[in-house]
Amino acid sequence: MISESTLYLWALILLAFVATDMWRWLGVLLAHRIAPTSLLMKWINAVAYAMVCGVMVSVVVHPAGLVASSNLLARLAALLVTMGLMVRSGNTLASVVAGASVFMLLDWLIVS
Amino acid sequence: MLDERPLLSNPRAVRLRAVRDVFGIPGLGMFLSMAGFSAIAREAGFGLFEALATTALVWGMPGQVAMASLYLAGASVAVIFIAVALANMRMMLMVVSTVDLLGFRRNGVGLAKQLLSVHLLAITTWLQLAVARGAIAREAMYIYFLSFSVLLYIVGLCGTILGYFLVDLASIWLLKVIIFTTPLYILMMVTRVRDLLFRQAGLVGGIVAPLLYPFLGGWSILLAGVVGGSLVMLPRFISARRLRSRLRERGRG
Repeated sequence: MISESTLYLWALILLAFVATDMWRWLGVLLAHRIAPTSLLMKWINAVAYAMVCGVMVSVVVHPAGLVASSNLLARLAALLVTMGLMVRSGNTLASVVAGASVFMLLDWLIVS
Repeated sequence: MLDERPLLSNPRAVRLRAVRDVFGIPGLGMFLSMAGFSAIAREAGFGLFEALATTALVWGMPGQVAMASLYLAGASVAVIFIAVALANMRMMLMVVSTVDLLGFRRNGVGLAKQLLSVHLLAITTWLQLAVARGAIAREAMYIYFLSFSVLLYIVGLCGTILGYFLVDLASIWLLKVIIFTTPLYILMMVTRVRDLLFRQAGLVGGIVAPLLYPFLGGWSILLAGVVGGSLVMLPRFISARRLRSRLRERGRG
């Protein structure tokens, strides 16, 4: 027996699939109409980068779920430390590990 | 900067390179990011198969997390659809800017395979393509993309499985850090992209979006994208315009 709530969740998953892949399909259709070396293509790329970073910094500043209970200062400090180290060293892994450690330490200090 | 190393074009070597690249930072990042999503999904009441299906069908972390957390909050179907669509709208632009690089037409890829291929495009893959451009020959880019993205997809599904059970094993602290790591590593990947213009666009978008979020919600991403992208392109648009009017004058004279 499949419960109603299970069916509802599966319908939502399909809906999320459509809400995402409609953009991908639209992208395929549009791509063949835009010259790859045009300024418009460059602009599209720049907008995409701005959106990717916009989504990701928003996840840091306004997180959902578990991370929402953490301290904003701890998250911002971690982001700044990670970026600073990345600019100086160019080592992604080391920078992210250091940033995650700062996040853990500060969040623990501030919450407790 | 001139790179003197020859570009990889041998299919075998390109595939090997893709596998090696997945098992570096991108694979680790994707694994943890999907583990983080899965922990959120379980918290929201998803079963393992529901979490796996979401990863497999959406394959875009921000939209997945938006969907799971809104489901938990009891949001309406329309709200969930719009939130996921806005969180993943960037996919369209990512795809547009990638299709030529992959050379669907040059490689004679049919429409069905094109649509399947772009389903595999996630932020990590897109950024990796921008980094790999300097090492892989143009004609081998599609081979690189397929090897990289299919393997990354499998890694993401494995991360979803692990994350689902990690909730039983790990402390809240560890889960929090795992979830928090995803935006950090993606932002750091952007700093490795060669084109300064795109890094600047990212910086503007990253500052504008969270500032507008309290007022506009998911729409802030769209606005931040247009503002960031247009702002850094402004000098180029202006000089292109000048060039055009100068050419027109010369044509008249």
